[in-house]
Amino acid sequence: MNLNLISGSIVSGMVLLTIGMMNRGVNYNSQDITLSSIKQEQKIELSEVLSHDLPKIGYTSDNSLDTLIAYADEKSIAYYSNIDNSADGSVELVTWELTNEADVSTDNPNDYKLVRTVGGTTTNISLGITTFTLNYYDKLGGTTPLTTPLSSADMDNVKQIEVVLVLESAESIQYSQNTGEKFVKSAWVKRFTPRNLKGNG
Amino acid sequence: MNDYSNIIQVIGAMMLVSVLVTNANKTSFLNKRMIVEGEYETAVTAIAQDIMEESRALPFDEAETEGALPVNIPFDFSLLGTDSGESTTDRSEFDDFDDYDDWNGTVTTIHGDFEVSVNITYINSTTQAPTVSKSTIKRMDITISSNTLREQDQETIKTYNYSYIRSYYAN
Repeated sequence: MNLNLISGSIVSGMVLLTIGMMNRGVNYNSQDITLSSIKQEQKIELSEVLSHDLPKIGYTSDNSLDTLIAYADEKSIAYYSNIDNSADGSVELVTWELTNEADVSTDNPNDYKLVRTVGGTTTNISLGITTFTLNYYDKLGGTTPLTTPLSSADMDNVKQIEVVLVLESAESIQYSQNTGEKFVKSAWVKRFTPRNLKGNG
Repeated sequence: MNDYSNIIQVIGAMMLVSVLVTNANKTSFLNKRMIVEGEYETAVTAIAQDIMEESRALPFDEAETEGALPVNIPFDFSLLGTDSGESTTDRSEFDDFDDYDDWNGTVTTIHGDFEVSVNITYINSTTQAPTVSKSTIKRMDITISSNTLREQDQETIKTYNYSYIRSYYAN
């Protein structure tokens, strides 16, 4: 064997190894970026629905509601609102609840179904939701949330509602056999100040 | 060609592969950075909206918090910023819109810490320009930054600016 053949083989092997590693890296990053993009889009869509619903707590055209919030705890809220702004002024009971029912449509063992109900019409939201936490504050800009579930007295004092939302990918990704699997996450935290809760407290 | 021509060719090929690998890594890193930036920018926007909504729930001016409406508008309005005896740091103690003037603090969310500062200015209702004179329009300017969000040079911290205009008559 001559020197050229030996060194050529070694270098070729190194090049092949480099290309193999690069290929694995590119594949992993590609999956990571695709799943992250999907999760961010889903998060934005869900945040738009929440941003439509929650600021309308207690909304009626004639401001006639005595009870604005019917029930509130860490994982669910029920409130009254003429949410569709119907001309007859009818008020709907709106609920958001993170159920204990696992989302079996994904491979992720940590996600649950989120349920939105408006006037008895239920919508199941299966977007890989692992966290849907509601915090309630009786002071604007307050830092200490109220204890949940809220007592009826506390429900009359709520001024702000904070939503913590975390979505995870349906499938996991793994860089190599030696590294653990991971689910891609996307999170959103928003503190709502519904106008009709302004007079609370 | 001498005996080393093959080695030289292989070294050349290796250099070519190195350049390709470096470029692929760079592109991959940039894509990942854009995704992370998108995630954090959503958080930044949510913080700005939180402060705008929160301030909107308060009266337009200190003069409205004292039980009676001001008579001479806008001359009876207070000076911008917190008023005598009010906390300058604790937002939960603010009782009118312009108490947020010069407020700055760290807002901690699931994404980490964000530095937030707020300024309020009176706006001339005719020219729409900032003015030191009292008027019926106030503008809130919110500046938010995070150690994670940086300019292209990776050194300079990016700042995000949001404005919200509030009128006394469209309260």
